[in-house]
Amino acid sequence: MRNTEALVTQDLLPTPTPGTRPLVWLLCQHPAAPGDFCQRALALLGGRCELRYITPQERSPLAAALSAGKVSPPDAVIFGDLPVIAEDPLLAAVREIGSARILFSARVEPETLQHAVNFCGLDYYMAPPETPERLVEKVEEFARARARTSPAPAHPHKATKPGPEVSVSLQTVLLVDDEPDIRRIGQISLSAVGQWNVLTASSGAEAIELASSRAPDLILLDVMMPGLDGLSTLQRLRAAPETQSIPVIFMTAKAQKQELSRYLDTGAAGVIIKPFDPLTLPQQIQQCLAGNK
Amino acid sequence: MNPELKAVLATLRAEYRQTLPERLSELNTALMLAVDAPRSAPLRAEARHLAHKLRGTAGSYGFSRISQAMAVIEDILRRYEEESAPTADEWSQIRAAFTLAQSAIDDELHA
Repeated sequence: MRNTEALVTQDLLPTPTPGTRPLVWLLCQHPAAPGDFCQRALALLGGRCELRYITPQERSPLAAALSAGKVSPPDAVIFGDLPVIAEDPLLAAVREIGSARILFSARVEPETLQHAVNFCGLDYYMAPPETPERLVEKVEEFARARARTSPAPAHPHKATKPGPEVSVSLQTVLLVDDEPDIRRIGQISLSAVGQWNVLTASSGAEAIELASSRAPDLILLDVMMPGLDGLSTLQRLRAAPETQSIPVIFMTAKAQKQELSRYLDTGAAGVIIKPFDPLTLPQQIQQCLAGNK
Repeated sequence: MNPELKAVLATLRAEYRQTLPERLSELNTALMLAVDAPRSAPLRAEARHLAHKLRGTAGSYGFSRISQAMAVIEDILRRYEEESAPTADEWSQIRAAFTLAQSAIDDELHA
């Protein structure tokens, strides 16, 4: 097995031709320490991807080169440090080019991490419990997703958006619920079972902001929330041009028949009753999108 | 099921299970306040809200007995959102449902 040093040295070689192994950039302050999670992940990834470790000093010049089209854009970028992520020039360039999925892996508080995902344009994050194999799996999934959508659009999140009547392979789902426990298990379900990128919001107001800035392919919206409830949130989403066509599925623990009809009359793609089974939630979603409300 | 996913879900469930006694205690307090103030719609609303939350979350974490008990409590309280209060019989039903939820938690914690 190759060690980290060997990977770092080799991966500073010129980027590979498209169509070969996925090109992955790893951004962190220091190469991983021997024996830890990152080191093991690197070893695994090294066998399947063209890895390039980007030093902190390289980020600005590489960002400029990427924007100028002088380097091949990566399939996936892995960030391994949070503090500088919001201002990172390379992150901004990668997002602008829109070719790569951006993944963040670190052991920080889930809420902090979620903020990074929502507001720094990340596509996915990994938090404990995690395994190096999971990181590899995710990177490969990103690469496959890119291959399916090739050539990459300037803004992948604003690419083809499914209508509510069409069952499609979703990329990004926004889960809105004021209950942290529901967001937590919902996120696991949508990402691990559904294999989707997941954004979360704890209120209607936050959901509107995220939907506008990140253009998810679907919004899973809790009905009963303090402040702006689900129905009012949907009204506002429909009133804004940039969010009016995003399919919305309501989630509610209220299961009375007349209420279900009322929710569906708002133009929602479906209603999912809570509690839900995390193992079948993605399937329920697909059924709603296929028109089986 | 993917063993990794199975492990993650088991961890989440175990963590959630640890929080259940406190959540039920909170609901118990809210219910007692609502019983003591039969004309207070806000107190009933607070109890209903707590039951509603538990109904959705407990069931999603696989605690279906607790979720079902919370459904009974929520559905009764939802009929009394204005000034009138549940009848004595309905309060008994609420108390019975609460006791069932408590037993379910005890069973889970000692499983």
